[in-house]
Amino acid sequence: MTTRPELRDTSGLLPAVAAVGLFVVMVLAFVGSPIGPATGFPANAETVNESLGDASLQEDASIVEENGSTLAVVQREGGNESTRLANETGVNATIVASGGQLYGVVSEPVSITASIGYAMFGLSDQAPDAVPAENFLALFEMIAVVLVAALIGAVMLARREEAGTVVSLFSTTDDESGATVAADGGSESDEFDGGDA
Amino acid sequence: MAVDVTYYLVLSAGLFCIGLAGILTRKNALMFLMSVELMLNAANINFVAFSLQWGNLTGQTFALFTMALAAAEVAIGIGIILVLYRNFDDVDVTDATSMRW
Repeated sequence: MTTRPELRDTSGLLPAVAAVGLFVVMVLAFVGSPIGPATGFPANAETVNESLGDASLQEDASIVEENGSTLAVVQREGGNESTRLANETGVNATIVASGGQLYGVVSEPVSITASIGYAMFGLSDQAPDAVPAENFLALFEMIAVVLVAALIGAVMLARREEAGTVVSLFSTTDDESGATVAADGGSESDEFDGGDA
Repeated sequence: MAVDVTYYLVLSAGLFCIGLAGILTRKNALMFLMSVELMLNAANINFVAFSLQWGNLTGQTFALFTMALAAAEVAIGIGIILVLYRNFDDVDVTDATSMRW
């Protein structure tokens, strides 16, 4: 009798229709639900915010870098008034008018990864401009215990003592028969070679 | 510009249902493990998507811990599959119908 390729028996796939049905129900629920636009993460966080005076001065205000520092300069009738924003140059400084007042603002990008790291160890209050998150220190410790338990469980389940040698975590002891360790997944061992690999 | 969260939800539902279909139709224990991983990762997509939705990093951090939990689960799962193969000479989950052999 010749052999030929055959289609896989698809009779066992009937329960998958339930999964497809669940997918349809979920998609209908999601598409019909009124979820607003995403808030998103802040791109920048203010590190310096200096008041410069009334918002009507916006036309006369500018950012100036000189002598290794960043200044907000407002040109007034009696002369220029400069406010030091940062003791370095090359920072992201802008003039912002808000609520009738003018501000010199220095901002720097917020690091999402750093914020996750702070949240993981419950240090968010020590981060200067962390994105809000809850304290995960207790969960961190719990997961650490679970991972250790999983490691011990995996070693316990994988250890085998039937075919010749007792293999445990830190010691290997030969038994009297002198047969070798079978690493073939548990087939019958004979007297000389362990399992029939 | 952020992608609307509904798309993430549909992607997550698709992934979850693929995992569910795998569990319902397969008999191989390794396929079971892979399907459970798909379902866990569907939950992770939801966590990360809603993290962006609310501008709060709790979801992203929790997704990291879910990954660690998935790793622990796979470690134990593969151990169980080893024992299953040792005792039943197969990894077919329908063979192991009793708690003893």
